[in-house]
Amino acid sequence: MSETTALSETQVQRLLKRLDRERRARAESEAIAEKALGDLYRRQKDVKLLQTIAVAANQTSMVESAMQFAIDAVCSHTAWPVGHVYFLSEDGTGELKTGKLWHLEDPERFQTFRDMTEATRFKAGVGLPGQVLSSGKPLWITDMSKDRNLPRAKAAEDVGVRTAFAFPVLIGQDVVAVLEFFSADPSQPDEALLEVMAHVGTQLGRVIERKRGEEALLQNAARLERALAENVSLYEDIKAQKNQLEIANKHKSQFLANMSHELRTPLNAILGYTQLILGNIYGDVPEKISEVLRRVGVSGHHLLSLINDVLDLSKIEAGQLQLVTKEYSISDVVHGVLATMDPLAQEKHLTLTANIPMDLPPGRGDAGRINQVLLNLVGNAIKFTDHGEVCVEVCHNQDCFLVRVSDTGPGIDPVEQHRIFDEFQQGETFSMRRKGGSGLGLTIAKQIVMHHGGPLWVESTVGQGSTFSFSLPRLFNQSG
Amino acid sequence: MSMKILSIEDQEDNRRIIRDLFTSAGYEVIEAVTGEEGVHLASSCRPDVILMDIQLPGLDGYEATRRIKAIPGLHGVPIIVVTSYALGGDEEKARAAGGDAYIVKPYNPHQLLQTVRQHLH
Repeated sequence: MSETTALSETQVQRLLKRLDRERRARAESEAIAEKALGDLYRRQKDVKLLQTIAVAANQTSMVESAMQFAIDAVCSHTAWPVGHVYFLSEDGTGELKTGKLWHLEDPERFQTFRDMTEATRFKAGVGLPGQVLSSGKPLWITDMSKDRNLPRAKAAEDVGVRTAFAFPVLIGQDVVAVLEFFSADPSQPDEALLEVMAHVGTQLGRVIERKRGEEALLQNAARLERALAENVSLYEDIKAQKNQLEIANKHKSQFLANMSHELRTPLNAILGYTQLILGNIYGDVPEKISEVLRRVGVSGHHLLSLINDVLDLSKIEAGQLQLVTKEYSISDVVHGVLATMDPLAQEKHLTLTANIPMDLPPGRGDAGRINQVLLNLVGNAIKFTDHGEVCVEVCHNQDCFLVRVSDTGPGIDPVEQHRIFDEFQQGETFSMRRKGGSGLGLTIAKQIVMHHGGPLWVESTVGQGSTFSFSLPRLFNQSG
Repeated sequence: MSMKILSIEDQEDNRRIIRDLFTSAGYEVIEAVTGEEGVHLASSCRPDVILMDIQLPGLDGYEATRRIKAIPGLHGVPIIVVTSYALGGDEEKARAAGGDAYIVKPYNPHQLLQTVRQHLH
């Protein structure tokens, strides 16, 4: 029995060895498991850090407060004593300059390092932040004293920091800021941490992007507001100018009305005395003097008609042409005009004829003004016709009178036909100097007819004469 | 007995034309240079017809017409308004003030004479 239960020394040794192997293996497994757990725990913390910063970043559009929050969070996460933010300078140099945002565990201790950092600007590729700026990637420097490309290595050593890492804040591919951190304890690169920091950089980039978007929006809004204000002031200017124009126009009309009055007063004396002398009130007048005086009278009346034209036009322009409407006989108006104009026609050996139906109904309108229109048309026809005849025709239907004045004059070419109704225009073919007149007559005639609600137009063939026609509503309605 | 005509007119030439015209036609012509004087003479001289200018110093022709028309016994005296105003609405204003006729300067003296005769029946 003892043989079967007793273990040989060799067996015992073998078992002990095996036990020891197994114990070591278990310890190794435990260590691995513990490390894995630790890694997992750190990863969890890293992810938590990222989440915290991401949440904070999303809640603010204040770039500075987001950055401050980030460096505080990273320092608290890593237990590193120094964190600092650079911004890309906006002056176009492409350099990094301090954002004056710091996490300092012991401000007094790091004061000199802080002063040195804030006094330095980093070009791309220079120093820790400059290298991050040019690469766009996180950078870890385990021992700053062994790196030759660090302007602050000495300052760092003086305050006792050894290890540093930095990561960029990116908008797309562009580095807009760099965050740097320093530690007194030399430590190896933590790849997982650097990866998380890269994400933090992206999150912070969004804050800056959002801020820029808001600024752009605000600028656009401000620009729009300025544009609106400019438009408003432009509108005010135009309105003011329009008012001034209206006032100036009123002044012009008033001036013309006054001028017309002033011109009529002496003209009244000239024409009055002329008539009195011709009427032999001051004694018998020799025929030679009578003849000259008649010419004075004709010129005076011509001057009067010019003054009247200018006054009429000023009234039309000021919208003050008022029609005095009464019942009238168109036939009487035409016969009156023919009687007035007959001497002129006879003087030029022209036949002045009329073709007027017997049964014309009465009309309603401003007979004085209609008389003026017809005087103008017949006067022009006689003025411009050297041979042949001038004929006035009237026809009517239920609603309208149609009056036509035709002549056997030189005619008007098609281009002139449009222009002759404009102010101060006479056909080029018969110059104003040769024929006299204000050049306003047709404009006024057309306006008078239009005020009655009818058209006035011309048909003409060069060499064959012209026909001026107008139609009038038989019963002019003031409100229409 | 000749007809009495009161001419209220501030402009000398126009006054003379009226004076010469109506004197030669056998009228007695009385003259006033201002509206006030016109109203006063209308009241004291009792003319048969009045020629009234509108643009007068001080009291204008419209107001002088109103005042004369308000004087007892003068309402029926025709007032012929003579004016060089030729703006729309002047005739209406003259008639509203009590004017019986409206003539625009420059007038044909014979027409003026005819108008006056018409208003004296």
